[in-house]
Amino acid sequence: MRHYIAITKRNHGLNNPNEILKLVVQGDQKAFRALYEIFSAKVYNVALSYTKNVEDAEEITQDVFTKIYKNAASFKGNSALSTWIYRITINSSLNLIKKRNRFSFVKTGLASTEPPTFDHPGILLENKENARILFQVIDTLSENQKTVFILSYIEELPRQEIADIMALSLKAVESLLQRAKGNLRKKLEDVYPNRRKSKSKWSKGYRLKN
Amino acid sequence: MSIDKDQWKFEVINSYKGAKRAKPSEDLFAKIEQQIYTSKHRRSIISLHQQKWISIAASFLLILNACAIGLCVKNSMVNRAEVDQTVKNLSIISDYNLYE
Repeated sequence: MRHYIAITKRNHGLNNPNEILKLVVQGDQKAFRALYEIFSAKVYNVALSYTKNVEDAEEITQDVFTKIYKNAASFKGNSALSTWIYRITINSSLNLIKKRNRFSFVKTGLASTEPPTFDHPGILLENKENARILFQVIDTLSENQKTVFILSYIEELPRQEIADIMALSLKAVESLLQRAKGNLRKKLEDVYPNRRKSKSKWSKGYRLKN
Repeated sequence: MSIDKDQWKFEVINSYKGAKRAKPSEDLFAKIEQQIYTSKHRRSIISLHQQKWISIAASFLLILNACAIGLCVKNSMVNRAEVDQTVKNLSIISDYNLYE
């Protein structure tokens, strides 16, 4: 909340993102800029975690904020504004992934098998190789498990907020998270022996069995 | 070996810890504004296009109506001629009606 106040005071003098959204409904461009400054990093990072591609993540961020601008009047305040924005981001990210998978099938005639390597720009240097493997393995999870893992481990959101975003109970979220971690560990079992054999495969990217 | 493996898995799953948030490019907001402006502008172009079609359809309807009115007028003139003829015939008949 302090982060929101610092940004909003710098940009518009308002304390509440909901108040900023009301101004966006009225067409206030400064308010829209303020909203962008508050939420753009969250939206971009979630999109990046899903797509593992900077251009796609920027495209999603663009789409999300365009949707926010066009649909601001339809936000009733039944949930937190961040919950609404996260939902739009997650849906946009999943839709883009499905679209990309469809087109890659048409192009190659086969399902996309080789996940590209991805170096997240914010990862500490000593963790880059492990993070590369992590993002490849996350891709093998189901949509719900992937979402829960990204929101919990990457966005570090509280479980209740994740439950609100995904419109699930807290227990369902915890169960999904347990299954996601279990599946990640199983996938990593396949990776571990091969990693010991040849380190060079990891710098290029290694195809995991699904 | 097993401890190493478990430790390694733990490290992979937690490799994002301490990472900084990535930031989108500086010009992304400008692109968003451009996208919003373009979609608003596209809407006004479409309505101009629609207006053209509406005026064409309206003209067509006016022409149709004019033809219909013209036909009606023509038909009514024909009918009047027939009525006049009928009236004439009746008077001829009545002139020759000897038994009234």
